[in-house]
Amino acid sequence: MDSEKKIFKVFETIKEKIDISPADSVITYLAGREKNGLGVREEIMILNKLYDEGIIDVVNNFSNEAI
Amino acid sequence: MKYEGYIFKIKARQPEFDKAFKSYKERTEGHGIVLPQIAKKFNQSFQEFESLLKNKTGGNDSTDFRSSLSKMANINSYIKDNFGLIEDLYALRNVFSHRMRGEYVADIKEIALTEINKIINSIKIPRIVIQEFGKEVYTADEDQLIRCVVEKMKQKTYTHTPVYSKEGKCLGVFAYSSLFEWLADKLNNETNMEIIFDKIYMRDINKKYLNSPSVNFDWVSETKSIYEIIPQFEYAVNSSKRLDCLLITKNGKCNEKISGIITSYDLPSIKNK
Repeated sequence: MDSEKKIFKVFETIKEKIDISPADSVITYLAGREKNGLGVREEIMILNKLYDEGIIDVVNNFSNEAI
Repeated sequence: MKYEGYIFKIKARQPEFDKAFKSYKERTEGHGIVLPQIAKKFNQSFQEFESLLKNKTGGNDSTDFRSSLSKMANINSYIKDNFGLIEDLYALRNVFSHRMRGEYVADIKEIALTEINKIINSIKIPRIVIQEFGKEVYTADEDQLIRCVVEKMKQKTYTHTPVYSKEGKCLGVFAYSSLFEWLADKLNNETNMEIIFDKIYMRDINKKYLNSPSVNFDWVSETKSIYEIIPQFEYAVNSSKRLDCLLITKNGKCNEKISGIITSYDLPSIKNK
């Protein structure tokens, strides 16, 4: 799978969550667990990229250990 | 890299998110995913259907499909009757346009395309009321004898007869309930209970009996979709107002020549079209 397709899979996952959430909601994205065929590291990198490009805002970020 | 945890709480920025999503979608659609021709046609048809729905229900780009569909089902009986089918077709459309599921789910049948096109046509080029219900409607003019009009209505079981002036203006509608109301008024006013019907011509009838709230009719234009008729009757019922018939004229105006009639008895025939 090429990189653009991987990025698009993350987009689609986010879009699906947005479509079923109330307007302007904060949504939870669990990198590596969204069952879209991508690994944890890949998804974390893509989400950082989307943040850097001003496409998403990251309201909070943590791992299990930090909870 | 700023964020290292795997749990992200995020918000999409608009319109940047939608713009980037669209751009990636266009770029990736050419990458190794070859949808069958019929699936492409189906997706195009479904897109047309979505646009039609939004257009008819006053939606915009941010209106979601289900909300437009529900609104449309309230004003169009064809959509309401096919609600389940449309939901299935929507799911099918998602298979081929979201998350590349089309890669894994193999086939789409011709019937899906036929069905979505039938639904589109029911909105774009629907059967209109004049095609289905255009007919000679019995009307009376003000110089006719009441006796003759009543006899004709009894003979042919006509419930509503529009009454016209010599100048061709609609004076109102003479219905079964017009006589009933007149009788009720008489019973209320006469003390000796001897009721005499002394009217001779249609023009002698008090106009209040031709335009009373109990004469339940409305006007409808010739070009109205037949699928909007059942919702009109349903709306009347939901508003606690009985609707017995719709009189058809060119533009749905009361001062035009009547070109047909739709009664509540005709409703089952719409369901079968």
